[in-house]
Amino acid sequence: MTAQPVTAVDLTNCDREPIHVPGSIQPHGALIGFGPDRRAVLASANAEALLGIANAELTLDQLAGAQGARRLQQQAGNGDQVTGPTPVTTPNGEFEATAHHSDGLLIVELEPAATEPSASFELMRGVILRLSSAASVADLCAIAAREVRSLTGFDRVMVYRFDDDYNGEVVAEERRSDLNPFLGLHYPATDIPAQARALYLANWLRTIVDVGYEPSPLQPQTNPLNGAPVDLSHAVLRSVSPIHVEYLTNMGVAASMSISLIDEGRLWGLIACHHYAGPHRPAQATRAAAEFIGQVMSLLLAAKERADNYQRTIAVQSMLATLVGGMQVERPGEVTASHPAELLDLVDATGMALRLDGRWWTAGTTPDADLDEIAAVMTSQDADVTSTSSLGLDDPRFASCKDVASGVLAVAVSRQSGDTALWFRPEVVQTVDWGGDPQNKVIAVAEDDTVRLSPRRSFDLWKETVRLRSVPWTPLDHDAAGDFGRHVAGLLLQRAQRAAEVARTLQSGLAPEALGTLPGFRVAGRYRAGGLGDVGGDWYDVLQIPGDGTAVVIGDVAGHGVTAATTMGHLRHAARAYLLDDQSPAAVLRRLNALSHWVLPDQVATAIVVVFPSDGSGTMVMASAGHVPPLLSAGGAAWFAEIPAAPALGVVPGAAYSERRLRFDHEVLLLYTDGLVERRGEAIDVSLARLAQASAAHHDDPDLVDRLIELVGPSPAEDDLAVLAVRRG
Amino acid sequence: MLEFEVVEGGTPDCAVVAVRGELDIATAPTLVAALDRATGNGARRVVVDMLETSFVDSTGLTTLLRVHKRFEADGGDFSIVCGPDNLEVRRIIDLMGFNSVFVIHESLAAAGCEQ
Repeated sequence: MTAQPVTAVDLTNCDREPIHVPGSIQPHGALIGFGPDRRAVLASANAEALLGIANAELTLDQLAGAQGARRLQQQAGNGDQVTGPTPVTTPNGEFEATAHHSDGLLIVELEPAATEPSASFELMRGVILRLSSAASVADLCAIAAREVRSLTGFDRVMVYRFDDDYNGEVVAEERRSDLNPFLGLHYPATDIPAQARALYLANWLRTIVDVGYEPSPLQPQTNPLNGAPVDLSHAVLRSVSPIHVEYLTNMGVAASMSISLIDEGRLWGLIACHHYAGPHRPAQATRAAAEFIGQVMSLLLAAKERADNYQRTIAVQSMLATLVGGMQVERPGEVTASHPAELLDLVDATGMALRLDGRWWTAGTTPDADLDEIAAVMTSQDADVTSTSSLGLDDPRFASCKDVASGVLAVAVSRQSGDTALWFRPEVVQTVDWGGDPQNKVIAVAEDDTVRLSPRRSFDLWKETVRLRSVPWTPLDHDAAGDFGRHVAGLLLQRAQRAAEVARTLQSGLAPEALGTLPGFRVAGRYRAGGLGDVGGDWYDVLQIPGDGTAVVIGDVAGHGVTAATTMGHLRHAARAYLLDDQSPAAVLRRLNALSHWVLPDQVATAIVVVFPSDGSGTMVMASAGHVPPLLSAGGAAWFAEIPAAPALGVVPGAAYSERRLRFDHEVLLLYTDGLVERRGEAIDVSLARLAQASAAHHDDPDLVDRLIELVGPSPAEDDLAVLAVRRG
Repeated sequence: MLEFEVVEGGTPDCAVVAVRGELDIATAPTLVAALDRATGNGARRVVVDMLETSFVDSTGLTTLLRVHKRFEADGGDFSIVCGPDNLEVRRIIDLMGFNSVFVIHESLAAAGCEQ
């Protein structure tokens, strides 16, 4: 009778291959199954020839002697209390036997006794000390690879680590110096199917002594006690999947061994050993020592990972401190230009975009797609920190930016203003080396088109499974991003507080009571900040010029923020100085324009200067620099003062300003900034007409300014606005 | 609701940047970025098409002025297209005196730049 797999196995069904019931074993040892009466009921076909004992009617005592039989039964019942194999003498020489139970059978496996000395206590003690002293997980893996190779003599020993999806990466390697390195190579989860991983959790060590072996079938194929295929999950001689053998053969591997690394019940990785020179069979005791190294390493993993996390946390905190220290309160976004490396390293990203102050600041490589749209998708959930490692799969609109942004980590810094931080990672296929990459010639050398299964074939599968995916973001990445977001939010708050303070200081002179009293005039003024509480650049001023009359100024610096408010302060004080010097409004504007070009580059302001001469003429002289026109009203009518048009301050160097003398007697003069009249989707003439109409109807109202803001002013307030009403009296 | 959009066109030599919607403190940076791209790509002439601009405020115009200054200092040619019937925009440009700094064409054809 020979072993026949139930169905031919290929890559499409290998994850369903029943590898725990192969019906055969590797022929370097023999397997005998004993029934409850301790008589042999099945055996591998090679048992008689290998052991020189006839299986028929064989009892456990005949095989191992009374004492050996007891020890084997004890080992099968409670393996932990029996260390090492049981020696068995046969007509063909000395063997080592191990035993375990399977579905009512006592399975005894025999291998020729070792000729090499077993690992000593001193040796193992040194190994454990070295493993314990590892500073990091990487260090631990390197030490384990070195120790296992020196113990077992395999040509290549690798530590192979699984990710969350059981894709693997070679993270440590010890090899014969003439071999091509596999360190850093990645292998897809399909290379080690789920049922194989389940077996790896159940037993810690597997060996294939000779990849070219002829399986020795069990006779009979089924367990006589229950009629089912014999479960060989725990058999060390278990014949392996033909797929696995083909895979190894195509890689040139002659013998292999693997040891499970299990962290808190999860298969963390493997210590994988390859031999190329020919069959390789470490003795039972050597295998046990290697298995012990795997178990010690497994126990140390959690502690070393904690140590790694701790190191990483310290590094992240240090980067955060650098970033926070390097951020300008006024222009925090510029950190993307001044500290791009820290911004990216903070979460191991390749690109970063920061939305602050209504624009995007970027570092590294960022996607061409609309960042606002990515931010909208990422911050649509309640959590402040969100991430995806498959943006293009989540939202096909972004599939085209996979090379830059398959992974996105997002922090909502401020939902109110839409401030957001985004980090990006590329599609993973571009960041790793593939074990099956056809460009890796050494691996592919033995392959041609007739090869059914090989690392190269699985590379094709791998490309499919990792399409549009990035390396996933870790909890540490989330924490670091969240910390960064909170620092930025704190900085923005600090800035807002500072700005509010500056605004109060700069505009404190605009409070109605600060206008003081002007003999011969009644003046009412109002300033209202913009809807976002932002500092604006609107101002007005009234002053008496000793001996020469009275002057009123209104102005509006384009833009918002402290820069606009500071410019406003400069212009306001300069206007006062110039008025003391020269009572010509046109001359004052000309000098303000020169000042703007000289010391306030890139700042633009509109202004009107009005001088009321104290010559008893009942007139005023005014000039405008691009400002909305003054409104005069009296007798139920209102009209705009016709003054020559001239550019705003800071627009045309050396611009000419001219002034006009107008009657000002019983009229109400209304000066205002565009914040009072500006309307989106409406031509300014329409807004001005509405203002004129309101003023014509209410010019005698003592609270005219408030009334006009109420009737005409935009609601909600968007821009800041200033309004000033002047009459004689 | 689409409030603002910048459409980049023209030729490598003459870039046309069309501003659709409202140009203000919130949207100006997007326009500046588009203009920077145009000049970064080596355009010698830049035309800002404001035919479909529904609103502009002093901050929006000041932003244009800054780009204009920088571009002309580098020897480039900067102009605006804004028809006489787009009063929402044209009146603000005239009121603030920007018409004496910007070259303003009434149509893209008049600007001499292929779209």
